[in-house]
Amino acid sequence: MTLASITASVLIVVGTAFYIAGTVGLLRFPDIHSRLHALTKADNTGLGFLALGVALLSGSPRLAVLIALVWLLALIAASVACHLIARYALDGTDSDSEPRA
Amino acid sequence: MSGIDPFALAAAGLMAFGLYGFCVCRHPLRRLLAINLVGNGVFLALILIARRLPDGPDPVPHAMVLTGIVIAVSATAFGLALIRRQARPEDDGND
Amino acid sequence: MMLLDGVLALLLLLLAGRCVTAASLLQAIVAFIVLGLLLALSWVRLQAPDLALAEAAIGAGLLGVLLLGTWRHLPASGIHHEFPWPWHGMKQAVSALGGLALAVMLALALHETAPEPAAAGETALAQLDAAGVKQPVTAVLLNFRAYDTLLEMGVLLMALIGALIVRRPLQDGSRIAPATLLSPSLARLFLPPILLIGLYLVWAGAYSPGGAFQGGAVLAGAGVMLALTGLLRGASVDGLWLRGLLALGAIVFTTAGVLLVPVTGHFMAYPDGLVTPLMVLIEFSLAISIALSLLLLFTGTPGLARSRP
Repeated sequence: MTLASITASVLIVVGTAFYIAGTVGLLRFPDIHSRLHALTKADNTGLGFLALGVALLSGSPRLAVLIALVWLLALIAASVACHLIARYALDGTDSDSEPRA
Repeated sequence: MSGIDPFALAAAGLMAFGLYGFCVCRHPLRRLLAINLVGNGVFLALILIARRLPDGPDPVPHAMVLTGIVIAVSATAFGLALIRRQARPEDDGND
Repeated sequence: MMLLDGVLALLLLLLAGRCVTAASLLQAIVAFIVLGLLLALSWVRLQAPDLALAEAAIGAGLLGVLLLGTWRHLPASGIHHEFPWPWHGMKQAVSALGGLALAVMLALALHETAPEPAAAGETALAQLDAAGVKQPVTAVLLNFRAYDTLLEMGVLLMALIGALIVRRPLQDGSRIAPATLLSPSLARLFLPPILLIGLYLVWAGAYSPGGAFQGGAVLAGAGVMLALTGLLRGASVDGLWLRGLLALGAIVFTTAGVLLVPVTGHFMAYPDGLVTPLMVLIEFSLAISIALSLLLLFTGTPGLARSRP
């Protein structure tokens, strides 16, 4: 166990904890906006920690840059998806489970 | 039965659920999903068999499953078009 | 890692059950999409990265979009809530027993069958040097079993033609309206990296996991994104160039096979010096045709047009 791998393990555990918190929020929060809030914030942070941990484990700068790129793209995509869902919910066609006729 | 592969159970279960859903569900879209479940079960079984080659996984079943995934998606897309037409025969395209 | 496999397999089973027994159709579709994503993870665990890429891009991504798009256009009256549990009737019980019997037989077959010498696979691995590509799966797809891939392209085109005949053409200008200004601008931002990833996947198929189908699916995904954000829309008229691009894969594949018959003596046999450039050429033309077919299956129109802002 080198210092790098210990740090990486800690980062991955912290990231997973964020994911669990986000999922609990998704399941427990009452309405769509607070659910989105829990999900995107916690999961994006969690993904950041995970990416950092995995990048440390990989030990090569090239892979680290690629992982950072993946993290950045996932971050933007998650934010846009969150924005679109919130926007859709605001438009009055809220979380009904059946399509509009 | 020690050392049974969990994915073998998953493959069997996927096919069973697919068969059950195909027989029992009435909505065509659900039946389409059920057929796809059976297909996914078959793919899993093929890939499990592919692992039996001693030096590396067998590329032939892999290629067959890759072909199968694309065929399944195109057949499903055709089925979805049929379902849309069946659901709204009077639809003149304002969707 | 046995634990991870077990959890994955268990989740696959739970989601399959949910997909069949969910009360609402939307729940069933969502369960199916998540199942596709977990299946992609399972392919990684089963040492099939090619399949993982294809499943994530085609099985979970494009198929999910197609399913949800269809669900959105179904009339609400047609979707009755179903509770197909086995104890709800005779038919259900019999079907459940049949499914159970099938599962037991298959599990036994997968567990008991003695490993047989997989002659085709061993031959493919042994002949890999002659294939012109270093990746075994791509070699099988484009060279050793080229017929399969050519006909697969044909099936894809036939499914597209069938879907286009069945679905009435969209009227010009009908598209999903952009809900916000944010998504079109971000789609423009995302487009170059997605195209890059798609082309890279096609190129990478020669020596690492990837290939025409995975790359084509990613390229189609870029098109779906443009269509969803309103930058691209389906058109009821199709240009000759579009038809040409749709048929490009099959045409290049067949032409390469036929033209080299005098040299090699066999249909779809490639001479040693030419094999690698031919493989790359075929792969890229296939990817273009696959991407366009999948995109048109999504829009349901024979043509495409750029939207005027």
